[in-house]
Amino acid sequence: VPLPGCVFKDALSVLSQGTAPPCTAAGGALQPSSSGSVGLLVNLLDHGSLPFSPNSIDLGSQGTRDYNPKQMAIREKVFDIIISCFKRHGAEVIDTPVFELKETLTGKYGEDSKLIYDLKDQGGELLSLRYDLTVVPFARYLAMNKITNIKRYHIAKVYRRDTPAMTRGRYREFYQCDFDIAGQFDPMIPDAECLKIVHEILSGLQIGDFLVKVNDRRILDGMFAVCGVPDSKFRTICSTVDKLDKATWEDVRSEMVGEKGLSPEAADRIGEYVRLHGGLGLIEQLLQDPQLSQNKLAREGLGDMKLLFEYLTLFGIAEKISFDLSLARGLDYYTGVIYEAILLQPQSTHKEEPVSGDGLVGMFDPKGRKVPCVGVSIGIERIFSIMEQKAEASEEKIRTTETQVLVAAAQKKLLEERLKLISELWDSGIKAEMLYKKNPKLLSQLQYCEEAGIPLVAIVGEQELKDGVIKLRVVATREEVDIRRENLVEEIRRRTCQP
Amino acid sequence: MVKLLQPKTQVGPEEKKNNFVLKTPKGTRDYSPKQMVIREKIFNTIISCFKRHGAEVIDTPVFELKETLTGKYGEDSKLIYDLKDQGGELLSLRYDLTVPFARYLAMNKITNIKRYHIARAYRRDNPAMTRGRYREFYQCDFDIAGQFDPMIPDAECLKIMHEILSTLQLGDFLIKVNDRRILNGVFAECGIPDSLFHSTCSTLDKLNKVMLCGFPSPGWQALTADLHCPSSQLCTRGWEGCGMAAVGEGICVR
Repeated sequence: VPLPGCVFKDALSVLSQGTAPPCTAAGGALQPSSSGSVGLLVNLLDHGSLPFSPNSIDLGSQGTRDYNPKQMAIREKVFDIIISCFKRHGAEVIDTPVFELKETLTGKYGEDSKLIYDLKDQGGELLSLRYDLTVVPFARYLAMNKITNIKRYHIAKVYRRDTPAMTRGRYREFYQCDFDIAGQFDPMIPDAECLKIVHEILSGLQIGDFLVKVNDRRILDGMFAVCGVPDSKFRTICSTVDKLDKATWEDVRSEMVGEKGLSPEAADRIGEYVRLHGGLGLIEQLLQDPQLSQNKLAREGLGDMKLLFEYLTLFGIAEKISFDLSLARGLDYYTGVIYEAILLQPQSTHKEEPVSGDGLVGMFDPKGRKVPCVGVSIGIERIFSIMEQKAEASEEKIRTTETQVLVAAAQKKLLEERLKLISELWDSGIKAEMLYKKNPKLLSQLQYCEEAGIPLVAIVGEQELKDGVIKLRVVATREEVDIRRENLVEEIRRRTCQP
Repeated sequence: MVKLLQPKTQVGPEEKKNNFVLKTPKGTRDYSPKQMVIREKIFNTIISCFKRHGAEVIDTPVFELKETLTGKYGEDSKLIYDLKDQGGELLSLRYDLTVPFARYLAMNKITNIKRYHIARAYRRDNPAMTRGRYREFYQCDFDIAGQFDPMIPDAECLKIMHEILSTLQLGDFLIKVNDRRILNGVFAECGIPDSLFHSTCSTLDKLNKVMLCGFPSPGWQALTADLHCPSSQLCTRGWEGCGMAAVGEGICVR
């Protein structure tokens, strides 16, 4: 079987070998396929000489997945919404290699370091796959290029040797989608913009009602101090509080008192605070709190929180933001405001699934130790799986191509005419397809449109050719109109609403 | 927030204490915002062309099971990046997009697809980075898989190349076309034994680097001269002088 793709690849590799040197200079986008790959593919597909028998289903590696065209269509839609939001807010974009020097990652992730994928030592540098986008690659990028001011986003895959629950959108290879504002600015202005971005993206995705929880590391630490938690226990108590979104207060309390050795009185005082959530009113109330108001850290944190809510009110998004004292996410280097967005009700058919278990968005301020940094990290895999479930549940067919028109023939011996017409359409920027058959039946051409969701058919016929027209058929309504050939492009554009 | 309020001047000295290794791995690079703008522009051109031709898009993991890649790349297999055995499956970084595509087709029992795939591939090569060659680099594959009437998809592939190269405005270009069957026919006519077709072909492939223009060019003469040198690769492949000359005539017809 001839594999047409080979023509393209062969030609590209020829190009890269020197006949058109600018190709390789252009950002590396047109790297050649290895010249052996063409024959190889033919082998794979035709002779079955390689171990890809259709029965070996389990060819993928654990915790990873392919994206099929349907999933890619969803992924593209999600990325479009997110990226256009980032661009609306004036962000630049960067990218970094998929692996870093092993030593660059060493010591950055604490206990989680065991989840890092290392590359085999094959001579040369020791390498590891990136574990996230911000703690290491972004910080390394800033330091390497001595950048102290940047608003950038970075969307890429990261790698964790975890035991993932793939059905819930958790993988060993997964996308992260980070937006950060690095630099020194007046307090809470970048933070407010980050929250605005989260609001815009979650609204734009239309995955259901959501709530963004906000807290501040300084308020948490101040709260622990006034509740009588010893300094040395702040971190461990904090991680226990963090379990509140999954566990009951009783469980959390018994962990604090039992496992962590906190006094019952301190635990109960924490209990009083962590059940509080609200808006400006709560902030005012806590600023008057006889104990908290005496703590310098808490006072600072509350002051900034008040400022933040004032900005959020001006942005018109305060009602979706909840100041929540039980929110205790984060690692050591989150020293200021912390945020997390949750879906209020799952859109999936699995009603029992508590969505709040996974934050859709985590935001940390400031992170990165040297350059102050405010950021948003979007749990995009979770969003993909929600969107995929939603698509599955709905009747609406997802198109995996954007083809506007199929160039078809009504009679035999019109291949040349179809080729001529489709070329005209392509050159005018119309997305067009044709069947790769010399004499396809009209019915099979129409069926192809139905399957692929192509809205229009441009039918070439002998009589129409004589008359200088093309028959344009609307697939959905079966309506047919003769369009003068010179008006065809305009008509297709008009009917498919392409700009 | 304490850190937020530190004067900017302290950022510099503090960086020195930073224990980041300030280097990307050999043969890799970051893309700065400026480079990303260029990359985006190129991808936009290419992707919108693929979409204009009705292609779907797929993506596959950056690593495959090691055994999936084994035996697919011949001698080049030594350039494959393996992941360390940390328990569990043995994995390798993808070397190209073709093997993942073939695996994808087999796994999903797909016999008909027009798809593109833009992703990075990994090769432990010694790259000339100044010439745009890296150990981590993008590939951009478009394939039409399936059984169709002859040359219609081939013509579309060439149309796609033409559109992309025109739109990118890299300069004037020429697309060279040949057919393996024509080559094999030429070899047969020139008296080259079947068993040497493949190696003859790969030697011939070097012509675009040595031949300047027309025949006989200095480059071509250099190649044929190799014939008479017992140590040359050409000789060890068993080329006959007359066969060589005949091949020379054959391939100069354009």
